[in-house]
Amino acid sequence: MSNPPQALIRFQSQKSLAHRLVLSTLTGRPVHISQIRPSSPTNPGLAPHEVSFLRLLEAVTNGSHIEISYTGTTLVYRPGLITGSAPGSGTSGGVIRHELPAGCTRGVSYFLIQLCLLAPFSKAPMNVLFTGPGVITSATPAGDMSADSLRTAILPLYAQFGISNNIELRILRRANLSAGGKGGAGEVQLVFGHQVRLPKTIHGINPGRVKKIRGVAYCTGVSALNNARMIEEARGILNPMTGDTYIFSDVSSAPYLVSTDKSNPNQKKKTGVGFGLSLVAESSTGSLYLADLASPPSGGVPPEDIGRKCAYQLLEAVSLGGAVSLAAAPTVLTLMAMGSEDVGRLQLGRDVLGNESLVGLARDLKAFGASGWGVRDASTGQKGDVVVSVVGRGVGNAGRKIA
Amino acid sequence: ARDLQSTQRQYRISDFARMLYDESLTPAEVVRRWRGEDDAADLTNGNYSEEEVEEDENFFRKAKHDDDEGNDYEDRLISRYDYNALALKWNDPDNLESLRRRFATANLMKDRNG
Repeated sequence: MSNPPQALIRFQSQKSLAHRLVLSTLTGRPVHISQIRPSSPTNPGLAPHEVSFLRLLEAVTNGSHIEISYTGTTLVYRPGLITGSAPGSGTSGGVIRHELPAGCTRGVSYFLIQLCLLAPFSKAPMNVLFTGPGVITSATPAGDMSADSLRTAILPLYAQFGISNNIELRILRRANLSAGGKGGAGEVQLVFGHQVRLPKTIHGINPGRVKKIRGVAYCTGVSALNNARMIEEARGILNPMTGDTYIFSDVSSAPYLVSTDKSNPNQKKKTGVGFGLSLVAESSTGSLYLADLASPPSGGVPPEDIGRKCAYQLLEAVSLGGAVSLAAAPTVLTLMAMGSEDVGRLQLGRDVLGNESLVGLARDLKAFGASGWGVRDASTGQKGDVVVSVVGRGVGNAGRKIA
Repeated sequence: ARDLQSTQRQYRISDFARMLYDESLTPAEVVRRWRGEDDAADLTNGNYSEEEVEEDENFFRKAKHDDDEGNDYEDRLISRYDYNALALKWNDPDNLESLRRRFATANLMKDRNG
């Protein structure tokens, strides 16, 4: 492709860095991001998970160009074509292996959510295996959801956009956050085999009523009793609200990390010990609300507390209203903006919309050439809900211009 | 009268639409203003022209920024909650009762009567 060099879109700070890079890749506009943690005394510049995310972008695209300044506080990214796991660079047997470094503090969902946004617009199916000492499948204190929530509350949303075939998230090995708040050593595989020309326009203006609650309680390397205690406590709070509550329990042993200590190469280290709970409420119209909490790496929190807090978090998420919960809103709104040139509508709770990250997202989308959001009060649903209308940009899939 | 005015300002959708793409406000400020959580300085300036309000914002921005960065340095999808406050909120029967309407098992007849 011999496009004339496009002007760089300039951003500052590390806020929503990954999402900006994804938008850049989707729209094909190069970005210049400066002031990435410029005043942090301990670790200025890009964090390990951000560098790793850049590597991932490089792996699933062809022709991307990344420049990072010496201090890591400035970044220039010129996106290439999204090729997915097409044979060629870095793919073996149709799978891209992506290793996360041990210093990673973010959960694997940090990468997966963004990767899922790229996948529908990829040329070939996306098949990425996340492995290495930094894969944390649980929720993290840094605000990532667990891989379970991603599977049960985010991936189903793609079906509304007509993207539903051959999508699977396999959690091959679980890991919580290790001591010190870094790394896990889990293993997760994302298969995203449904590529589209354009996502469908959606009209999510009926939040419906919550009809069932599902959940996954997970523990790695600790007694299964922890699961039972979390579930018991969470059900105690949720049962009066709805009769249809079912929480799965998944017990696994802790992953072993092969020692890097040369004097004793056979020594293995247990990592990622802990437990957590992921709850998802589903409404009659398919709206999903999620809550997620895991034991902190420092330990010392009884499972009852996790169960109770997670249940309260779910009630809060439901009470915020709207057809989409806060954690899923960026995904849905981005897909709407990438859709065909038609007006899509989405009902959101006012505290969901009135959130810093969503205001930031609206501005980022506009910077990348999407049209502005229209907002108006909702006529149905909970008091105070807001309907956001998003006009798609018709970007679609460069790899599938003819479909 | 001022109190009345300030509550009306809260959560008005036209305000939000106006502020959403106003680059002179940071996202945090947009949110705070929309919720009507702004400090007294803004309320007294409520009727003044945009420029003056902006000037004020610039004046206060530096300090606010420093506060914010400690709390919200990184992106997060699951918000930080004050769990004690949540526990109090969801132990209150009134709150639970109002939430019950969002659940399919709720008794709708009571709603219609009232």
